[in-house]
Amino acid sequence: MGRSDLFVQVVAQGLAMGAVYALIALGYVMIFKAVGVFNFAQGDFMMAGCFLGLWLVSTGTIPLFAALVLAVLLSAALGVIVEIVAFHPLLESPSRSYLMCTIAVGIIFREVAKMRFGADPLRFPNYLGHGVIKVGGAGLSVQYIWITTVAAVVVVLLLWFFKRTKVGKAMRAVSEDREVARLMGIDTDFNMRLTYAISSALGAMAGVLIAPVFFAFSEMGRSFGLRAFSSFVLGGTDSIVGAVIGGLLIGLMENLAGVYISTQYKDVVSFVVLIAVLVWRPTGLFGERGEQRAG
Amino acid sequence: MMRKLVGIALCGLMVSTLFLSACSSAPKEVKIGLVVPLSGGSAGPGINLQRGVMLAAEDMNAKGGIKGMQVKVLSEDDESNPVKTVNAVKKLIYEDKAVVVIGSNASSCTLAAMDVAAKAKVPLITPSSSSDEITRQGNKYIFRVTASNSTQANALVDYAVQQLGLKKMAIVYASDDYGTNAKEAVVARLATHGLTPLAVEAFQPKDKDLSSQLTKVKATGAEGLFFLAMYDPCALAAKTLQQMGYMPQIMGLGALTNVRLVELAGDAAMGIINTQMYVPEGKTEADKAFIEKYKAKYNTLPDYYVALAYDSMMVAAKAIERAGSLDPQKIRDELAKTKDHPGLGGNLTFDETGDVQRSVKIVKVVGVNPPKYEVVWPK
Repeated sequence: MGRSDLFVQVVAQGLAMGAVYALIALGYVMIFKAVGVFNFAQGDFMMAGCFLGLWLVSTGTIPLFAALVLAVLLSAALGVIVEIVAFHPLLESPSRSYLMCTIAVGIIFREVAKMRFGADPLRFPNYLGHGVIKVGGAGLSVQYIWITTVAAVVVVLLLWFFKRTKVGKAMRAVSEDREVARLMGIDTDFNMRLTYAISSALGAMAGVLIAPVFFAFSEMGRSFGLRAFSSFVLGGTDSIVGAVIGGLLIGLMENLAGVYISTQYKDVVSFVVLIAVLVWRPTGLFGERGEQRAG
Repeated sequence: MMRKLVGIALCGLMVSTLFLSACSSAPKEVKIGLVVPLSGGSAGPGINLQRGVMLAAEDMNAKGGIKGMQVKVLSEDDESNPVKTVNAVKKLIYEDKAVVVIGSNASSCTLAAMDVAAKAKVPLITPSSSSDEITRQGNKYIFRVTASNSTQANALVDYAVQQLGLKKMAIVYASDDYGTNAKEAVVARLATHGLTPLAVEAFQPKDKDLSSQLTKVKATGAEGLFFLAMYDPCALAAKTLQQMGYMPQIMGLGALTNVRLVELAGDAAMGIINTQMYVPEGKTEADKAFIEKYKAKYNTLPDYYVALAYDSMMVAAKAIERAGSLDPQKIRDELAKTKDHPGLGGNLTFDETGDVQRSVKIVKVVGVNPPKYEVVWPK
């Protein structure tokens, strides 16, 4: 494999991983825009979606793709239920209470998954195929191409939804100022639920997309969620485009640093870059308002 | 004041009961301590180790025990946490009065508990910890039943170079005790063949993305990849390599032989080779009987953990029999004399460091659904 082939391989893998981080990071952005708080359970919503998919597939009565779509829809419902039961009562409390609650929900998700499915990684049906597309000496996996494509389509849809649809515009209004939006006749409770539905669905999509490659395991939300969180901070916490660029950058940096510097230091490199960017631009690459406390 | 008095009186009572129980009549049973992970991430191997020891104890007891004394196994769970191993071994030796302790599984756990055993002068037999460090420390009370990383690495490297004719090698290893030691062993043996690995890449045991490491390996064009870690990351690596359209011969030490490797990696696991101490082939009468008994009880085939633990218990029982005493020091001296003990996976002899001299098999994944292994060495 020549130098340029190696570079192509590294960049392609970095972008695919970055696309996954971006999908999860979008969930962080949605919740942050709506509530002004980090949702630390976001990675675990991804894990939940993944295990829901695995469970539906294992029943063997539903076709695979239907099971995956159903898993994403069920995750959206799960997001709504958690919002009603756990998060909504804390909406007017100090943001630290809300934050703690997201951490608690994450722990509960992980422990339930461990009780039901065990601590060992589980095989997820490989519905994306094993194909490898040769580009010179580099091999690009069809699975990675799918992951990247789906992530791109989702981002475009989300941007369209927020810019063009009435519900999307209402959600943006609520994220600007919940109280004013409510006075303008927007159903803020419905809005909040919809936000959670979309962000959990995004997580679940990321989960069922990566599980054929990385398996399903109860801690997957933490290992991928942390990288996604970095992407979200790097991108600027309240920008959809920022989360996507942040995710792709973190994925690229990790892979480039791993191959061209040292695999021992690949995480160090991405975190050093993250810190440097935050020192230079405290609001992140695309952030407008930085951190803002909730109500 | 009154409280203090009551306290002192209670303490006195406790001490006297302890004293009395210690002075009770001649023992009717042999207490064997067992410390393995029975919960947490390594519970799978731990439970099989426990089954192996239990099965051996039942076999001994069915034949009338050791010199008329029944074998009693006392199990402790260390969750693969070295601190808990140390505490468990202390409890087994000082409270339960075990005369031999079998355990633990992870090398770091056994390394931590060895000193406790040596201080108490009670032999510790590890069925499955393979780090070379264990028998390099001059500890007179440690014995090992599985082959060390070096012994396994020697067999594997020789096979790869001489039988498979591979020359361009790469290594990917987990940066824990096991992986680091295994890497050193493989590098050392490659050097005796005049080979230097083209890439040596580490990963954190918790890493879930090995693509950078494997891309570097791919860039060197290596034909053989030594993957020195547990089976979960290896399954991930096999799939990642498959996606890169690059299929080197993957080779591992001991830790890769697990059905879960094949279950997780699917057809990407085909052709992976791995050193092994025991494969349920049923070639000897003793092995046949062992497989049948195990199948009848657990409805599945025994794996190498079960066999290693079974052999550990049997080696201990033979030493106690020869010692004709329950004095741990005498049992230790007899253990050290173990020579050509007919174990399930071959004959076992302890050298002066407590390490085992035994043959090592090499197995290959030849079927995915259902998972199937074949012994490729010795032929």
